[in-house]
Amino acid sequence: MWDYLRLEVRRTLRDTGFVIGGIAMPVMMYLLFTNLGENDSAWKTASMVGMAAYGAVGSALNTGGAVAEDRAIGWLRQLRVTPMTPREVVIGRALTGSVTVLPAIVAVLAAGGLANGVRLQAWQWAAIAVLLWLGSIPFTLLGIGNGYRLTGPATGVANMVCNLGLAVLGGLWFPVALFPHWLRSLSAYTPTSRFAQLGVAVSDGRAPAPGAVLVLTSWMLVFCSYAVLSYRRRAGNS
Amino acid sequence: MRAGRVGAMLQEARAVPRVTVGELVTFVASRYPAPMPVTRALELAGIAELAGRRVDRLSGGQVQRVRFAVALAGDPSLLVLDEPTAALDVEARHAFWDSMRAYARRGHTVLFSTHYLEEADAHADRIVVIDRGRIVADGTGEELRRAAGGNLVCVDLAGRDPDFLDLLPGVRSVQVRGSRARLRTDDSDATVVALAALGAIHGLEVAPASLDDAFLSLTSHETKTETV
Repeated sequence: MWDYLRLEVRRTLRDTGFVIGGIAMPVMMYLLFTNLGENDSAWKTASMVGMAAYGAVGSALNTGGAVAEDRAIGWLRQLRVTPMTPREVVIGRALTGSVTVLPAIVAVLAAGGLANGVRLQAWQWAAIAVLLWLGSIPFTLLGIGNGYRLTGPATGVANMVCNLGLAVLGGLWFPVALFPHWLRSLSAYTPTSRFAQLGVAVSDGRAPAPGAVLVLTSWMLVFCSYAVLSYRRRAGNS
Repeated sequence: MRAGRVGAMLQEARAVPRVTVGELVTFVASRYPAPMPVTRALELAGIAELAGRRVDRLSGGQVQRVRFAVALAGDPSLLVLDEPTAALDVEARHAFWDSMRAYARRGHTVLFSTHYLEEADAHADRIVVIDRGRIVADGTGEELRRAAGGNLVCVDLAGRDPDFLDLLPGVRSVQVRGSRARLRTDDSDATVVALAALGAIHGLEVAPASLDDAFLSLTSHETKTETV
């Protein structure tokens, strides 16, 4: 299993699309959004968490794209005729997803600390990274669900729609405070908004609100069922 | 399968992107309890010099050989190959069968499917012909040829009406191409003697039926063979 994880992580990091879209883009957007015009340090910190979350969501969903690709080229079938069990393959994939979200989180946090002068306690840096890492699990499941259910190109489109839609709605790009009232109340129920709140709370020196954990956990259960159902549907022919 | 005694080469599998040949074969080998050394698998597949290259940057024939190395990597006692030579050129095909023979000689079983009958005839110890999911023949190439009706007798018609040919002893079927008739016969001696008695021998040719002929007599439409 660890060999499989190592192989898949290596394959992901060699994917230029992943490195640009999943790591470089969030960093560039963060630097752009916080350095054009007047920006206070509160926005630099909030946007840092938002963009790290955005990068993590994108990387997590990318795992699903990789699953769709592996299905299309017959790699999953090839694995199936080795002694590896399907369970090992799925778990290995999910672990790959959780490893490959780390570069985006670390890169945006590094940009915040090094380029934008965001100052936090050591424990806050660590806690934000860990919370964003754990909090990305629902999105990995969503991506895997898409990847097993849809064809390669359709997975790419679905992941992009999920990524951009949830990022904007969840206030990862712009503060939710700029939204009209109705959109703001909708935003509170998105997984991305609650995901970012985990990190925002820590950067304010607070523990994440129980509401955030509750909403995110609910989404995780929904996406987990979706992933399991999608996988079962494909179990015969992937 | 779980015990790692089966290795398979799937027909429709394409190149795995963003991984080198060496990494891929090493990974698959490590799934098996008693794999062969990776360098040996690469040598048997004839791709030792490609170990550091990325699989998705190879040619079709090279990818085919990578998939072969992947199937071999676990040193399985049963190797299943689905149309293994489909994308190979003549030279690569020869090299492929040489390594297959070497592998089988070491006490392993190789099961392959093919559309090329001469390939099955030349390399398989046992041939199973499957027609629309039904086994229609099972045996050595020699047995299959015999079962399908021994020999082929060809003569020039020299202006005769071909109708009488059907009535000759041993003849199973008659095919007329231009002025030449091809008779499939169970008893070529009797057929030729009867032809001689009728004074109908012009440009006589007697040949064993090919496996292709045997095959066509077993099935009369698109078919696929599985061979052991």
